[in-house]
Amino acid sequence: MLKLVLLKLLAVFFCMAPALAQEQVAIVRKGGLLVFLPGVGGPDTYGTYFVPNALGRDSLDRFQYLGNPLQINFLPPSELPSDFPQMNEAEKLEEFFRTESRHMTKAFGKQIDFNNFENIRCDGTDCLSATTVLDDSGPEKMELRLTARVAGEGILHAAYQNLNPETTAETQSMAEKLLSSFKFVPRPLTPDELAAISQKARE
Amino acid sequence: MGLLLLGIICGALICYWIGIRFYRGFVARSLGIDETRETPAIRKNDGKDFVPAKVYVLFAHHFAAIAGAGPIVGPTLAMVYGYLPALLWVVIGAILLGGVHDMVTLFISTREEGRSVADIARQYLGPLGYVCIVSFLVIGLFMITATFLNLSVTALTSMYPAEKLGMKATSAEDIQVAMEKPADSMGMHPFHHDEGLPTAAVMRDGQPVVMARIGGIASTSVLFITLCAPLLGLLIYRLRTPAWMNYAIAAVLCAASVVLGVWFPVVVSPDVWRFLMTFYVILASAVPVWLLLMPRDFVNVQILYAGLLAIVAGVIIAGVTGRFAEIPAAPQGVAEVIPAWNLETGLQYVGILWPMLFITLSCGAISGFHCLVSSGTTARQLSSERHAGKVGYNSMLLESLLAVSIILTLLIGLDWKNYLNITYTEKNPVLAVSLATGSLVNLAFGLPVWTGTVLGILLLEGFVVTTLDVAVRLNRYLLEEVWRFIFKNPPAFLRSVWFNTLLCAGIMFLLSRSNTLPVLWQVFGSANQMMGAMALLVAAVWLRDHGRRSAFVLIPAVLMFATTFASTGLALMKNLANSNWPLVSACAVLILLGAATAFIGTRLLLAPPRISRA
Repeated sequence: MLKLVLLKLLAVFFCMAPALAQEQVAIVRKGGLLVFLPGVGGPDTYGTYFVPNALGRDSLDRFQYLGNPLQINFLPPSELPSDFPQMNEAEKLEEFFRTESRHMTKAFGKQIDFNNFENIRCDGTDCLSATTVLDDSGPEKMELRLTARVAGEGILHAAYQNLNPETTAETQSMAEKLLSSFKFVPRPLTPDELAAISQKARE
Repeated sequence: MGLLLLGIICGALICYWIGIRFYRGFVARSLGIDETRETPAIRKNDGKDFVPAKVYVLFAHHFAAIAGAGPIVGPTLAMVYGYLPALLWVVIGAILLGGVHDMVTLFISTREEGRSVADIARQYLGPLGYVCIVSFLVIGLFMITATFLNLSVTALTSMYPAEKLGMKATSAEDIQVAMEKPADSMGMHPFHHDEGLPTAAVMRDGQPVVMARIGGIASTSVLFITLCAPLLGLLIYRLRTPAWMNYAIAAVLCAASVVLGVWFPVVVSPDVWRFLMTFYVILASAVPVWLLLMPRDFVNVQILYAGLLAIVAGVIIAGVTGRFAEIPAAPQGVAEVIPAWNLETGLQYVGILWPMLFITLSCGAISGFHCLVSSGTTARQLSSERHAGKVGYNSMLLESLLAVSIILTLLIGLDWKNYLNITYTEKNPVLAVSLATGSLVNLAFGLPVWTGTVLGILLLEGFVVTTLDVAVRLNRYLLEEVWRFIFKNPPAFLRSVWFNTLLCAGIMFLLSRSNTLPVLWQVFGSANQMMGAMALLVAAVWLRDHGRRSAFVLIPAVLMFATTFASTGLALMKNLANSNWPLVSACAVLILLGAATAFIGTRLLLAPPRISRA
């Protein structure tokens, strides 16, 4: 009996390790089991981030993001706003973040550790924003707020606002180059959109 | 201030002398050390894991293995309560708890054929006690090795603005020329600086800056020492060259590795380093100890001895001359020095003094990881029982001296505001130590600040790598024992050294790439001390069953159980309030395993002795 317990414990740990090795991991709880869901943010990430049923709609539980000071909550569909994007959009959102570092690498032609999203927020309807700081690991300090809009067709577009007051023309150009590497068309946030996001962030 | 520094360092040295002279002797008598008794290293000498070692080589290996990042990072973090609480616990804890823990586990393992603490617990605490302890140790070791791998990679790839290290300022035109050259694989533009360290130009905050690649020197040093280690292994273990010659060769190799590092710094990306280090620990864990692990530790530890000596000498010179007031980083009288006592700030950044100070200080005073080294590699190489105190107890006190030196270096080299800013706001305690060491070296020996900073990085890197390679080997030993416990006749592949080594190194590599590791590490910080409490409890049962007095290990065990249960309980409540269920589960598992072990141990201690052997 004890031998079996020890063997199971080690087996679970050994199986967890490859899942933990994903660069971006959330630990979620589903049906009493801990499930490792790659691609939804790092430990620096905070804010509230709703993903409906990324693991299967039927038995969705309340999920918990590991180490997140403010939690990322994965809510069952019944608790989601009626106009919240459904599963396919959520998967696209995940893909959006999962491929972020690949895009960055491609855009700049060099390896970039893109592991420092901050302020991921969602207003519970169709808008998700994330601020990222490219500082130590990047070629140049650049703070970008990316806003991805999602709707029935998936991600429609991303907007950006460079938050770095010392932005140089070169930085700006790199930011645009970065955003143009995405499959959606970037544009600056309008004042109204910015105000709306700020309002949501304050809430 | 100068008198205070001298008083502290002299007071600590006197306490250590009293500890070695009186308390170590008391422990040795209580254990019943028998100099004539043959040790497993001699009886089971297989030329691979069981190899009798000369005491100075074994001391070097043991000290290098037990002293990881803990005695450097732990005191740095703990100084948020002021320097006095950290200082007191580091000195008293090492003499009465840490040294005893290391010496006793080494002795008991030697008496038990070089078996690990977990395997000894199997016999003395029963199968349930064994399962609790071994699962705790195996998972803890995986976390430790992955964290140390990351620390090592961070140190080897660290950079800092050259000008802030006291290097000559560079003209904007020169930097601009460098910026126009093609970038290397790290996105940096190589730049030739006239003095000091290898440098590269990068954009920071919209401005081109020359960064010193302080990790590049340590990288070359690590590679050079590793490549030369087998040569020294042959000299020490096969040709049996005299000790003075071995020391001389090791010192020359160390010096050469640093000089080579300045000339040819190795700069590769963190992932490449992670891979290279993993490859190294696979070799160090699987090949015979005398060929790579022991000689490498012996060479590397010369840097650690030299660094420790330089820091202690620097503190004494600073105390005698009183020139610390001239240090730019700590303009005394202008900036506030780190206070002796500041519970309010400690409470704000870390938590209440008890238990958090004792957990934060980590292995500066007592560490459970040490019992794994004592009962793993060291016990299998101890050539005489009389060396148990010299190796086990003294090396813990040397580690404590290192922690004291770090505390005093920070006291001299950084002011309160900078200390809080770098250590807690920027969350970079390693940088705080390196900068303070730079100031100290500059003050005491008149050398440029960057030399001290490089020394700080070399020290940290040396301690981390020498702990990492041993930890993987220890984990391999533990897994081999686990398979023998689970299966009556383990399949051939589970008995294979290479399979178990690859398993340990592979899981370590995967975990090190996870962003989950730093989060889980918050919980496992107190697990290290809980491991120590478990080992002390096993020792208490062993001593009682062998008819010897056990209060000197039982009291520290109770203290450490209380401290670690309190800190893990606090973490559990905090995570419970945040509904962070994964971390709540991790805390609960730790408390459960610790409580089960404490319960089993207490029940056995209250019952009559079961075994009565000499």
